[in-house]
Amino acid sequence: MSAEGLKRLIPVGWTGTMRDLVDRLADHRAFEASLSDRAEIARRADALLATPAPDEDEARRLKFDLATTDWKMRAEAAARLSADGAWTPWSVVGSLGASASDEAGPHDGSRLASAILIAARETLSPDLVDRHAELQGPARAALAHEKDGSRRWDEAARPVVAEFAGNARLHGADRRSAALRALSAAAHLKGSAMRTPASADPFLLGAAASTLLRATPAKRESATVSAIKGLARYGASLNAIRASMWEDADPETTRRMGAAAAFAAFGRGTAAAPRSRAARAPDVRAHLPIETLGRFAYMTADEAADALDDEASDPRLDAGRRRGLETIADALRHHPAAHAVTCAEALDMEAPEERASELRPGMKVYRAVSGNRRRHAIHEGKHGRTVRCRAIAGPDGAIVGHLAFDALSREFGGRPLFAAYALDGRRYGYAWADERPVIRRGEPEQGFMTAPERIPV
Amino acid sequence: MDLPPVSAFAHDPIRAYIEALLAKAGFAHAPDAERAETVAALTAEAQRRVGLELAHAIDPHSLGEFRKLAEDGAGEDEMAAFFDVRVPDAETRVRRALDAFGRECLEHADRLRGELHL
Repeated sequence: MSAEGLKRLIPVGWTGTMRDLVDRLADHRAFEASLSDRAEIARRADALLATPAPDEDEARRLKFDLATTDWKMRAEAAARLSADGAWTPWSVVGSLGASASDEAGPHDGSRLASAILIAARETLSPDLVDRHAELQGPARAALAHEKDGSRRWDEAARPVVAEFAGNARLHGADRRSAALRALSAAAHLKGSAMRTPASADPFLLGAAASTLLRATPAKRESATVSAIKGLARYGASLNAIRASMWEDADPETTRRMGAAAAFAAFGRGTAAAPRSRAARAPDVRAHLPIETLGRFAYMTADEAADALDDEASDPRLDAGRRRGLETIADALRHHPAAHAVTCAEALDMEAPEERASELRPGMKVYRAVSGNRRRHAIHEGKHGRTVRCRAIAGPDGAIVGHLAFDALSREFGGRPLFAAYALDGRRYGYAWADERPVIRRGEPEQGFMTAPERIPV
Repeated sequence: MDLPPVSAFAHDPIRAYIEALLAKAGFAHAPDAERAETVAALTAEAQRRVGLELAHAIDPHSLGEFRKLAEDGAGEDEMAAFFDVRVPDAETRVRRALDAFGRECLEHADRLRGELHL
């Protein structure tokens, strides 16, 4: 039932208590709730109504688009999104319950119905209450005080916002407008969390969650689940038809035969029966061809993440490819030992054969792991002093040499330097240590920073 | 619809192929538990499909030999060596079977998504 429909059930000039109203609505099956649930819904609805809603100007001011990092662009995008009116909490709630063509105004009936709906939603869905608590507590604190707080907030808000988008779809919005509404609501929530006191949160969070009845999300989830299970059943039925042509084999023998043949073909795999790995996160490798990732296999995970981000910033990429690169970069960056493990280890993939290449002036390099990681390469530094070096890889993932990752190395003009060594151990050049290392030939005082060693004629 | 490539670097190429296939079919963000179960089930079915494809490539006597190998608990290397000897074009056949399986699954996933308005 929509907010508009609920509003119609509220008699004109109603003077009863909130509990009576909740009973009345529950009896009309706007929602199913036990007696104690109803009491809690009434209590929360009273509390929500006692909280002042932010005015229209304030709500408009808080809008920005999560999709961009530039604040000015965010504001402009938000203005475009909200061209149809202000996103006050009440109008957001109205947009949830009613179809896009309905005009839900922030008048008393709508306000009352919205408060009850939000309270019902929060009371009847413990899952949402948990998310709400996370957003109001640790995520809000992180957003305000921690360097990485924005990401934490986004992660906490994601399920709520996804629910919002799904709900908007169920209420007639097309895919694009549902996504835009979700983005706008997410931006609104985040802006609100950054700038306004917590008192308005119940409205905003309730609005974003927005599922009006308990049956709705269950229905949506079962569609995806039944689709994916249907796919598994279909795979089995395909084989059953074929197996009927080959009478003399049981399914397990056939499976082992296939697994062994795959092992013969690809050189790896297992003949053991596949088991469900429920706790495993979705395989990020599915986002990109493994050949692409193979280029980064020997870089350390954090460096591979930087390299992937570099690739993702190419404006010629299509959105899907960019999203894939960014997803893998995020996964690598979140590895608990991103500075120590290789990209291949972090993604649990088989590393391709290690490649070597030559250092070139102007080459951007990344920390890598080559051979036995516990043994650093030792080269001769200035005045015969030995320096400990780490392997480096070029942008194509090939190991190209070593850098003296040593705080005591050198400096020039007040800037710290890395010494660069070729794979055979001879001194090649240098790289500034206060930025992404870029190989330069010779010595800094010579002045020809990245001039090539030989100019081919 | 484009099929995902079979990765030569994954620990288990067939499982990795199924993971990529599900992502391609739009189920990358399905609930974890159901997704994991489907990956396991489809991996088994993909192996079975490959097995059925190979069954047509070897004679009944060799089939009996393979069954005996399996019953004796032979490892992957031994069983793979069996195919190396008996089916010289095993890799082509394996890839062909996986392609066919992947294509049929993707087409069916499209139909399912249309029916369920996903």
